[in-house]
Amino acid sequence: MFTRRNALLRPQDTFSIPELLDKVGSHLHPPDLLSCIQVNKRWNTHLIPLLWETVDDSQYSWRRFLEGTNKSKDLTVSPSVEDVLGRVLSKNGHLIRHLKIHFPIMIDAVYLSGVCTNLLSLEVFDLLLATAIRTRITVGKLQRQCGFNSLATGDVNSLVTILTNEQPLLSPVFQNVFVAPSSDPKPNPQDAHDRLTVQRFWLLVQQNSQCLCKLRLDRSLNILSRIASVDFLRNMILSLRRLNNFENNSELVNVGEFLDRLPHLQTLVTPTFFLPFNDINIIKTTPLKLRTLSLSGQLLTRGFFTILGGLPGLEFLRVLGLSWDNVTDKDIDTIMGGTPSGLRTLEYLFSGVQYIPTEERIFCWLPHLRKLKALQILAETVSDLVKFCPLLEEYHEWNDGVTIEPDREFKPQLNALAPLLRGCPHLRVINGIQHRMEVSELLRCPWVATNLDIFRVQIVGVPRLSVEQQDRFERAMKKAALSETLVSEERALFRLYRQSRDEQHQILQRLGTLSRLRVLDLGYEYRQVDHSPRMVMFEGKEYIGYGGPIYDTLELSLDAGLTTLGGLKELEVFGFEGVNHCIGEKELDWMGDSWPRLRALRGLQTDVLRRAKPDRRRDALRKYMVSIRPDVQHRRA
Amino acid sequence: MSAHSQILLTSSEGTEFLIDRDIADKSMLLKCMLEDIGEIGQAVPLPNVSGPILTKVIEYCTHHRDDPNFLSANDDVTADIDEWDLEYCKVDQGTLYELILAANYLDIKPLMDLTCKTVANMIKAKSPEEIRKTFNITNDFTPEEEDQVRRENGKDWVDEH
Repeated sequence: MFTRRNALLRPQDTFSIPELLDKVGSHLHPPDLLSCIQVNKRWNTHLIPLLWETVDDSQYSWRRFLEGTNKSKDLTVSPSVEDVLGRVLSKNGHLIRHLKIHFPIMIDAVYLSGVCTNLLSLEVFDLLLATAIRTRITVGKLQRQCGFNSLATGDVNSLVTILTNEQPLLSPVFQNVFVAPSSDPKPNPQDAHDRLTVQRFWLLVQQNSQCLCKLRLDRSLNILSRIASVDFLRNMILSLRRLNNFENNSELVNVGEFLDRLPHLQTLVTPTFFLPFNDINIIKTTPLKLRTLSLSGQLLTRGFFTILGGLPGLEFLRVLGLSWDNVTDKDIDTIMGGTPSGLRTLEYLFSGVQYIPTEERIFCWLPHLRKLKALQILAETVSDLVKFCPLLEEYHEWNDGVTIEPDREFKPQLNALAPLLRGCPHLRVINGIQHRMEVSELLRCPWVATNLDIFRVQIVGVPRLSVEQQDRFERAMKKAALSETLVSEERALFRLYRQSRDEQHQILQRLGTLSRLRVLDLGYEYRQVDHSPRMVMFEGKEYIGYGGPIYDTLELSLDAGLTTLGGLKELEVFGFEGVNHCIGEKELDWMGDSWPRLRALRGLQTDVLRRAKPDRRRDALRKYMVSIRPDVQHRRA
Repeated sequence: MSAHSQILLTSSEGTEFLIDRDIADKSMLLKCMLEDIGEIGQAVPLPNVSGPILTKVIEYCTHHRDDPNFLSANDDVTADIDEWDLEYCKVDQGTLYELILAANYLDIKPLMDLTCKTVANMIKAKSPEEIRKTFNITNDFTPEEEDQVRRENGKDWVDEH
C-alpha cells in the first residue's frame, strides 16, 4: 500500500508516490520505459530497475545493435559493441533479473561486467544462429588482445591458432571438463573464443547460484565447446539451491540421475530418455514437487502412468507421443495406487497405433483434466472425455488451427467433437477447425456448453440448393407468385428450400445463445496447395485452381438467419473462409453495426497463394468492409 | 450475517452511502474489517475518500458485483481494457488519480490495476517531452544528462518513440 497520502494532491504530485510509478511502470514495455526514464530524475530513479529487469537480446533492436557494430566486411572491426555493452552492463547489470540470451557476445559481456549477479532466470537459446556476429567479434577481440590495430586475415588466423593451442581456462573448475581440442594443425579460428564463451556462461551460472530459479540450457552450448565431464554439469546444476524451473535442451545433462536432489523443482523440460519414468519406485522415493513436465519424446503407457502415479502434484504434462505397451489394467491400478491423477493439462502430438485402448485407459484416471491438446482425437476419445473429465474447459488441436494445408494423414471423424457440446458444461474453448460437425447432429440434443469463448469447427451437412436447383427454384417462385400450379418436382424444391432455411436458422440460433463468444470460426481453408495443381483459365490468363468452398455449409446471409447472431456482443473474430456463404455488403453492414468489438474477419483477406485465381467479389467485399470498419483486420487464423 | 445486509460508509465530507455487503466486500479493507469486528451498526468512516470519488468506486464495484473473475480481472498486463471499464475511466486526470488513491486505500486490486493501466495507456508511444506535457511535469535533466540516460539505457537497442 502507498506510504503517502495527500488529499490535496495535484496530478503531477501523484507521481511522487514511488509505488504508483512502479504500478504504472509494470504495464509498460521497454520503449515506453525508455521514454519514462528521461522525463525527470524522479521517474528515472524509480523506473530504471523496471527497464532493466528483463533483458531479451532477441527483442527490439538488440539484433541490429549487435550486428550493426561492423557494417564493413573488413576484419579490422570496431570494438564499439563490446565497449558499449561493457559500459552499460557495468552500470546496470545488477538490475537484471531475467536474462534471455541468443548471442554469444551477450554471454561474454554479461560475464565480463562482473555485476550481473542477481539473476532469477537465465535462458540460453540457439547461439549458433549468431555465428556471423561471433566471428567478427572474436577477431576484433583477438586483435585488441594482441595489441594490433590492423591485421591481415592470415595474421589473425595465426593468432587464433596460438590462443587455441594455449587452451585458456578461466577457472580451475574447468580442469578436464572439456573434450580435448582437435589435433588438427589448422584449428577452427573460433574454437578458442567459443571455449571462453562457454566457460563464461558456466561462471555466470556459478555467480548466480544463490538466486537462480530458472535455467534454460541449449544444445548449442555443447556444440560451441563440448563438455566431457558429467560430474561438472551435475555439480553445477545441484549448486542452484533455488532452482525450480529447468529447461534442459542441451542433451548434456541426464537430470534423471539426480532428480531426487532437486527438491524445489516445479517445472522440468527435458528429453524423455533422460528420465527414469519406467520405474515407479525411483520416482516415488524422490521428494519431487513437479507441477509442470514437458518431454520432447515419446512415452509408453507404463511410463505415462508412472509419471502420474509418482508425481501427484503434476498439473501440466506435454509429451510428443503416447504408445500402448500392453500394460494391464491391474498394472495401472498398482502404479497409480488406486488414486486418480490431479493433472489439469495434457498435451500430446500423437498417440500410438493402438490409440483407442491407450486413450480409454488414460482419461478415466484424469478426472481433474481442464485442457486437452492433441493432434487427433477420435469419437471414442471424446466420449471418454465427456464421461470421465467433467471439468474439461478447453480442447485444442495440436496445430492451433493452422489450416491452409490440411494434414493428409489426419482425417477427423465426422461429428467426433459434437459430444463435447452436449456433455461438457464447463467447456470454454473448442479449437478444432479441422473437424466437421453436421447440422443434424448439432441439433439432435441441447448443448450444455453455453459458456464458450472460442468455437472453431466447420459446420456442414446444411441442405443447400445446387446452382441448377436454385435457377429452377427461382422460376418456381415466379410461378407461385402468379398462382400457377407447381409440379411435384417444384414442390420438392420448395420443401428443400424451407428445410435448408429452417436448419440454418436453428443452428444460428444455437450459436447466437453463446453470448460470451469471442471467436467464431466456421471456415476451414479449403485450398489444396501442393500435389499436381489443376490449372484454370480466367480473363485470358492461366491460374492454379486451388479448389472451391465446401458445398453444404451455411449461407450466413441475413435472410438465412445471420441476424440471430446479434447477441454476440463480445465477438472479436469471425471466420468463414471455405464456407459456401452468401455474404454481401448488407451482411457486412450488419456485422459492422452488430459486433462492436470485431477486430478480425477471416474470409475476405488478400490471397497469398502462388498464381491463385483472382476473386473479384471477395476483393470488393474486403474493400467495402475496410470503408465501413477500417479497424477490422482481414487475416488468416 | 445476512446475505443481503447493508453497510453504511461515510466519505471525507461526511456524506453517507448505504451499500450492499457484497459490494463492500469488493474492498479488501472493508471485507477484512467487517470480518474481524463484525457489523457494528455504525457508519464506517472513510476519511481519505471524497463523496464523488466514493460514488465512482461504488459504481465500479456494483458493475462488477457478479464478476466471477473479479480478483484476476486485470492481471494480464497485455490484455485490452473491457469496454465498460474503458468508458468508466474517461474522467479528468485529477479524478483518475483520486480513484487510484482510493483503490489503493480501500484495497480494491482490480480497480487499482485498471486505473494504473489507464495511466500507462496515456504514456504509451509518447516521447519524454510528450509525457511531460501530458502530466505537466518539469524536466530537471540537462540536455547532456538526458542524452547520457538514453545512451546508457537503450538508445541503440530499444526502439525509441
